[in-house]
Amino acid sequence: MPEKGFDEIYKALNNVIFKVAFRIVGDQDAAMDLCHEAFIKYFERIDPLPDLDQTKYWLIRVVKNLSFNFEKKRLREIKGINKLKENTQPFTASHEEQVIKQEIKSDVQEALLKLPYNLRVVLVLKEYGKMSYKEIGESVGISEGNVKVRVFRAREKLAQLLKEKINYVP
Amino acid sequence: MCPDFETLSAFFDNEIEAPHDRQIEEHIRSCAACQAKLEEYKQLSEMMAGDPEPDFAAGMEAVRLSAHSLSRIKKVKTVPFWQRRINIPVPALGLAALFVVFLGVVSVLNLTRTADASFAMKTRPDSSIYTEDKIPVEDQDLEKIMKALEGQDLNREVIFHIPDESKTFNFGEPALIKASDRKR
Ligand SMILES: [Zn+2]
Repeated sequence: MPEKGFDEIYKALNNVIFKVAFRIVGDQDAAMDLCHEAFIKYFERIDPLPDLDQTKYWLIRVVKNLSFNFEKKRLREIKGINKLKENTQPFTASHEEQVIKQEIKSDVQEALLKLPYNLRVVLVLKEYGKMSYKEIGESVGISEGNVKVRVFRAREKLAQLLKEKINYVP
Repeated sequence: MCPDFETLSAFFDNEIEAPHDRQIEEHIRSCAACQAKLEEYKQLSEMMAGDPEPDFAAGMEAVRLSAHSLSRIKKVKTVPFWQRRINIPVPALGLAALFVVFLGVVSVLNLTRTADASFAMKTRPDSSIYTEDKIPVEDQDLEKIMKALEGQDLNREVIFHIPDESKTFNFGEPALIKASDRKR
């Protein structure tokens, strides 16, 4: 991979790759790690990709595959915190809650993270990756029809979560 | 008759093929319920697009530089090698402990062409200053590796380059030293 070519590709794609990574994992550092790993994998690629679009989908696929490990870890942490809440004094639990709140930046991101991973990934690729159902299907390894169903379910769930949030806030 | 919402969602994404897209478009024009639903998807999409994002420019520039340095190192080398990239925050006191973990994971090295082995160390991507030192490793003496790491900045990215010909045996649990696992 020639360096000049890489710079051009990087300039064109780092924005969208970061967005997708960030929206899936909901954490800046983790998103940066994902991007780092994805671009290095790209460097290590031997066969060139035909065009910028194919490069984008390839990178997004790598980010998506790597993000699954972060998701598993995130869920473990949430479980751990919930367990802690059950078993500790109220003031400790509220402290843990504060820690979580600091990490969450917005209602939208908070709601996104509440979506099941399979729905979240597909909606993120649609809304932040600006990909077609066909491209999403190829990236995730599901049919176009399945993408359609998941995008729809993700939207409905996200809308519901945001409505609850807005109504809930005093 | 109204299309189902799943179809409206796909219509919103321009994923309905002709001639059905025309039919739906026509229907929506005279249907308040479908208009409202479509408006909901539009607002949701705008809300997502407008949601503030962390400032990532500096961090991503560091990611670019890091990828560059890897390619440069690769070019300089005539012998192909595989490399392993590990983010290790190295507190001076925890150094030894970390290396025990590292050893367990990476491998037992049996370097047949030791001259090509080296470390590249550079600042973490979130730092604005970018430096890199390569530390050749003459043999598999871990004392030397640890000596080389001592006195370095606390947060460094350490890249281990291991010659292609070297025999390595992987064992242990890789997840132990993944950067993401250490950080969070
Ligand atoms: Zn209607």
